[in-house]
Order: sequence, then C-alpha cells, then structure tokens
Amino acid sequence: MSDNSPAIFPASLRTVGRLAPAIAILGLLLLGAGLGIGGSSLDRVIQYYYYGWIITLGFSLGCYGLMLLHYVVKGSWGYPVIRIWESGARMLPGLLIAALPIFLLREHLFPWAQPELTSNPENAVLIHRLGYLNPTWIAIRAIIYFTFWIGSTQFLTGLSRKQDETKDPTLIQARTNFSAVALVLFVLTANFAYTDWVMSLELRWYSTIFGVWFVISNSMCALALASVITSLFHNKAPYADSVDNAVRKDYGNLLLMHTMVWAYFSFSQWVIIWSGNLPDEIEFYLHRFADGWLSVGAFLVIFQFFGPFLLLLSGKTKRKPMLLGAVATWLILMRLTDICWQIFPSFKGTNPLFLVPALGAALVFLGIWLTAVMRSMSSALAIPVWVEPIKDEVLHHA
Amino acid sequence: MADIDYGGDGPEPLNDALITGNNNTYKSIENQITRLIFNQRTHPKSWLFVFVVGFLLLNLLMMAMTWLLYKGVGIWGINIPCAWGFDIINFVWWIGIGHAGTLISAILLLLRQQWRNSINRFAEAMTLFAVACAGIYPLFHTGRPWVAFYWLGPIGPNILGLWPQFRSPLVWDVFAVSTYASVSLLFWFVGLIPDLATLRDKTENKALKVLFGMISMGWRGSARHWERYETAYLILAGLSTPLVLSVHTIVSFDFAVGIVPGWHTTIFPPYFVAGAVYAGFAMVLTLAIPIRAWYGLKNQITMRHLDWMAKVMLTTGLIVFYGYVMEVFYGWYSGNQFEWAMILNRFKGPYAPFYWALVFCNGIAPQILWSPKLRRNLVVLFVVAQIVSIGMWLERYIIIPVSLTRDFLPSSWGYYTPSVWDLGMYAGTIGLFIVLMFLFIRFMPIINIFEMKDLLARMHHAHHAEDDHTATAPGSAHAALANAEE
Repeated sequence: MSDNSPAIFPASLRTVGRLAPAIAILGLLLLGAGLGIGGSSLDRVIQYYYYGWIITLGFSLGCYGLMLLHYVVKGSWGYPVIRIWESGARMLPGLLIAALPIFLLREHLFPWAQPELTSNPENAVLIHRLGYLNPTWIAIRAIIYFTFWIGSTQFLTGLSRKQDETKDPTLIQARTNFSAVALVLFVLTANFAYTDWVMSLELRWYSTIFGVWFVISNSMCALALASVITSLFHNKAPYADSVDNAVRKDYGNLLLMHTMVWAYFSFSQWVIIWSGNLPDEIEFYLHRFADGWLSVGAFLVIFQFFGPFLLLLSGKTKRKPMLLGAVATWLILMRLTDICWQIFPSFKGTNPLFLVPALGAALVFLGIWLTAVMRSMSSALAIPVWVEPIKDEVLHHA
Repeated sequence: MADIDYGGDGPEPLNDALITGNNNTYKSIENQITRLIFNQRTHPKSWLFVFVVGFLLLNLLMMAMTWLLYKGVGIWGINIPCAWGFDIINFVWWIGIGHAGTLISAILLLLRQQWRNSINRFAEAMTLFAVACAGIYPLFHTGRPWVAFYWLGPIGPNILGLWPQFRSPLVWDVFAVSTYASVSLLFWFVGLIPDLATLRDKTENKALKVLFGMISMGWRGSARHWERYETAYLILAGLSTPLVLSVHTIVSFDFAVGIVPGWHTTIFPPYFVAGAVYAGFAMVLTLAIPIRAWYGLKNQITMRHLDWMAKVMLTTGLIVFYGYVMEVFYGWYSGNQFEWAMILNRFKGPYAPFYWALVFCNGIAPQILWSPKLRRNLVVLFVVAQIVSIGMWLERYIIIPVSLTRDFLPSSWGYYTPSVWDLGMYAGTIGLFIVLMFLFIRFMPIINIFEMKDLLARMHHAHHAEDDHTATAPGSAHAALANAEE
C-alpha cells in the first residue's frame, strides 16, 4: 500500500503528532521564564491556566463550528480537512474535565465569585446578575452546553466514520439535516457560554456582539490550523492530491473573510461603546487602554487586521503554500495575543509583559490538545472516503 | 404567453439544473428573454393592472411631496419626543430591500455561485429603485431639499455658518448611500452592455437599433472587449461588496452610537445587515414568483433558485431573530433600569401588539421554511415573503418610535401616530418602485442573456466531460475555473 493511500495514518500527520509535544515543552519553558515577570501567586497561576483553557476551548469550538458549517453547505474546501475539525471537536470532553480547576478556584478569576464584591451594595449591577451568575447555575449551564456540543459531535463524527465503512450516501443528507439545526443551537449556546466564562470577568460590562465575536475568533483559529497543516504538507499525502490551488485559494479567501469580520465586529463594538461613553460599558475599554495595554490593542489593529488583510488580498499569498502557511501561523499568534488582550486587563495589576507567560500557558495547552487531536485522527481515515461521490456544483448540475 | 417546457409531463421539477427544460439552445434562451422587449404583446393584462396601481400611488407621492414642500414637515406625525418617524422607518426599510440585489450580483459573483445568473439583473434593478425610494425620505425630511447638499456635503460652512458634524453617522450616511447608489448604477449598467448589444443586433426597428447602439457603447464582443468587461465587472463587484456591508452598518450606527435605550446595542451592525438581506430576498421572491409565471421563465428561474432564495431568507431570518433574543437577554443582564424598561415597554407598552406581530412575522412564521415541502410550495413561499416584508417594516417601527416616545424621563414621554401624509408618502414610494420596476420589465432584458448562455455552455461542457469520463476528479471544474482566473 502506498503512502498516498488514505487507509493508513499519513506520515505528514504523524509528524504533526510528534511536533505537538515539542510545542507544549516550548510553552512550558516560556511559562517558567514568564512566571518570574508576573509573579507565581495562585492568582496568577490560575489566570494563566484559565487563559490556556479559553484558547484551547476556542480551537475545539472553532473546529466544531466549521465542521457543522461544512456539513450544511458541503463546500469543496472542507473535505480535505474535515477530519482535523472532527478530531478537534472530539476534544471537548477533555476540555470539560480541564474546566474543573477553574470552577473550583473561580474566586481568583470572576467578580461574581468574590464575596467582598458581591456583598458590596455599590456593585448594584453585579448583585442584580447574581441570580444568573452564581456557581450553581453556571455549573448547570456549563454541563448543558458541553452535553450538547459533545453529544452532537459524537453523533456526527460517528456518522462520518460509519460512512467510511458502509459508503451509504444517505448519511450525507442525515448529517446536513442534523447540522443545520445544531449550527443554530451552537451559536446560541456559544453566546451564552462566553457570557458566563469571559464577559463576566468585568464587573459591569456587557456587549451583545461579544458572543458572535468569539464564534468568529474561534472559527479563525480552526481555519488557520487547517491552513497551516495543509500548507506545511502540501506536497505530501494526503494533501498533495486533495488540496489543489483552488482549495488553497479558498482557505486564503476564508481567512481573509474571517480577518475582515473580526475587524468589523471589533470596530463596531468599539465605536458604539466609545460613542455612548456610558459608565457600565466603557470600563471594558478603560481597562484595555491603561497600563500599557493600549499598545497591544494598536499592535492588533495593525498586525491582526491590516497586515494579514493586505497579504491575503494578493493572489500570490493564496497560491504559495508556504506563504499561506506563514500568514495562517501569524494569525494564530495574533489570536493568542488578542484573547490575552480580551482577558488579562480584567485582572488587577497586569500589563503587556504578562503576554510571555500567558503565551507559554497557551502553548502548553495547545501542544497537549494537538497531540490528542492527532491521536484521534489516527483512528480514522485522514480523508473520508465519502468525498468521492460528491462532485463539483458545475458537474453536478449538468 | 409562451408554452413552458419543463422537460416532462409531471409537476415542476426540483433538480440541480440551473436551466431546466429540454432542447435549450443559445438562440432559444436569447429569444425567450428578448421577446419581452420586441413583442410588447407578450405582456399580460396583469402587467397593466399592477402598473396602473403603481402609477396612481406615484401620483399620491407627488401630491404628498408637493404639500410637504409647501407646508413643511409639520404635516407629518413627527414631534418632540419623536422627531423621527415614518421618514426614517421607510428610509431604512427601502435601503434594506436594496441589499439583496447587491448581494446577489456582487457577493455571489465573488463566491462563484452560478445560480445568481438568472436573478441578478432584476435584483440589481430592484436595488437601484429601492435606493431611489429610500433617498427621498432624508432629503425631504430636511424640509428644504434644495439646500440639503450644503448642510450635508463636505463643502464648507453651511448657510447657518456651521460645519457638518463629521462625527455623526447621519453625515456618514450621505457618503455611504450616495457611493452605494453610484456604484450600483455603474455595476448594473456595465452588466447590461453585452445584452444591450444583443438587442441592437436583434432588433429590426431602426430607431431601437440606434438607441441600443448608443447605449451599448460600441460593444462588438471581441476578445479584448470581453477581457476588459470581465475585469471591470470583477472590480465593481469587489467595490460593491464592502459597500453593501458598510451602508447598512452605517444605517445601524445612526441609532447605535446614540444612548437611547433600544438603540445603543453592539449587535446592531451585523443584525442590520442580515435584516437588510432578509428583507431584500423577501422582495426578490415577491417579484420573481409572479414574473416567472407571467412570462414563462420557469426554465430560467427554476425551483432550485427559489429553494435557495428561501434558504437564504431562512438563514438571515434566524440571524435577525438571534438579534431580538440578544436584545431581551442583555436588556436584563445589563442591570440598567432604562434598558429593561425599554424591553418591558416593547412587551407590554402601548405598541406591544406591533412587537408581538414583529416576533411572529420575522421570528416564527419563516420557520416553516425548514420544511422542504412547504419551502417549495410557491403560494406558501410568496405568503412568507410578504410576512417577512411586513415584519421588517415593523422592526424599524419598533426600534424608532417605541424607543423615542419612552426614553429616560416619564415627563417627556409621548405617543407617535403617523399622519395621513406619512401614509401617503409611504404608499407613494411603493408606487414609484412598482412603476420603475414594471417599466424595467417591459423595456430591458430582465434576465442576463449572455450569462445564461455562458451557463448553458458550461453545462454542456460538463455534460460531455462526464460522458467522456474526462472529468472524474471531484472539484476538477472548480479547480479549472480558479486556475483560469489566475
């Protein structure tokens, strides 16, 4: 059997599996070096852990969202990498377990878990929210969200793997029908989940766009990951045959679209809150414009938006695998930086130097996550066999 | 009316073919579309009936505008605290309707979605006419439209000695809408040129030959012409795409940058854009369903097209409904008494019936489109499109007067009732839209002739490739197209 056969776990993906622990070790070194900068109190350690968890959850939920989207629209861009996204989504049970320390040590993170804040009558907004933001309800809701995400992932990826064996084409429509409903519920659950787990870091702040902002941010992470892997191994199985210039161009265009939507959502949120300048809302930006964090924000405007935007407009970037891979890697780094900017200014006494240990924590989590993703991928075909009967629209319509 | 050949004796088929029927040729496609212009007897009596209704309403618009200019904006129902009423409601409604045209013509082109080919022309026309209707409202709300340009344009201090407030999204609107209108007009006209040349070549009437000859700009269909045409069309599509998003985003900023409860919410920009596409597709369906029946165009605007449009409407409707849910949840979550009072006012206040009608029209009724059977029932689809159009109008009504009439101080609360002139002007712009649309149907090719011929060529090519087993790799045509673009 040749190396190109989908029946064996390709060498390229084995390489990713071998590289992943190295990423975790690199992260550990960064974290160790960085702990000296921000101190190694329990507060700080749990903050880094929480940040790493949020980043990794973002990758898994991004994979989950793109998997659902692909099952609904059946675009040709999704077939070569659907197994990466399926496996990424299959990591959600591990992330549920990894959330336990965050829940148990919640008073180090969330205002609603800090009695000195919840008992202060000056915090009227926080007190108003306590009926919703309390440990019992937060835990119940988290279980509901994870049950839905995990259950639907198991069902869909089960169907996908079953089709490898049975080659039953009716399963394609079954997945589409299920995914259309799941996609709607996913956006709703993700919105409420990120309200509980990130928005509530601020005492009073709220924003109606924040949930979908995270949906796009996560989706960009998953798409960038797929672009990096397919670009790195563009001349090796299984991507040498399945990712041609047209599909690579699709990845470039999708990354461009995500970059623009990210900027659109971020700008909209900022301009509306800045114009209103209301005390309940503006605290979010006041925290992010102080203690040196403004420079990180400005950096993101230039290097998360303008840089990738201009590069991805060019056809050359989308044609050259290594160039596209480099832009996608950069976008992942920018996502890590941006999420750090979203989270850390909510904690007292932080500044941009905290990026170093935070990035270390994220790499530790991502390294472990990627190792597990590759293990999951090795138990199925890297490219599903059911890709074959699905033809391009023009051919199909003839 | 032409006989319609669905390619079989049974009911109208739902397959994936973008052109249905047997024995389609380039000539048959050309004839089916051009006969609407060259053979004026093709037009049924229903055309005349709708046109006359539209024309009468247009006259009502003329009366309403004349009276407005004579008496001033006091003839409208607006007053403090509700200084914005039907004028801005209808402005936003019309602008939204226009968005589907640009989405179909530009965004679907960039996404290489070929199902746009048979609906893009009249959807683009719809955009232009809807923007024309929209533009009337802010212009006449100034009371003196002949000096509005000085007030709004970037040409120095106006007659009151003040500069326009460039931090106001109302000023951004002027730039956004006028740029959008200009680019949409150019896009529509450039897309028409090859078809105008076809009309020039086909007509036997000398006057028409001269007319079409002039407006087809000397098109000869040479390789160089096609190459330049394709480049220009792609550039215009690239320009239109951010424009269509920016226009309704800025329209949403008109409200969201203020601090009025119910306006100041960060989800507004994407929610307005989705709402615009939602309303726009409802209008495209409102026009497409009768037109394809009256003019025997069921082979070009197929059940597949209608099915996809229904799906787009369902998807954008879900986004809009998501926006409503977020408004209610964060209204409570904010802990802000004014935000929550606004939500309760919507639920139980004097305008509550409108709010619940809105939830039904935009949130509940379109859910029947999940059912493939109902989605493909044209009566059901047409009725849902009407419900959505009403719902999207109600949405603007709920956002504007309901918030303005009950803001922070109970002592300044009020109640908004539109005057007869508000109603007349609204009905009048519907008349203007109908008249322009029906004149367009009668005198311009409503389906893009050359793109349909191109689509037929691709279908034939792909069919032969399948027969010859030369197109076996999935995505090969897709790849060929993309590689050709490069």
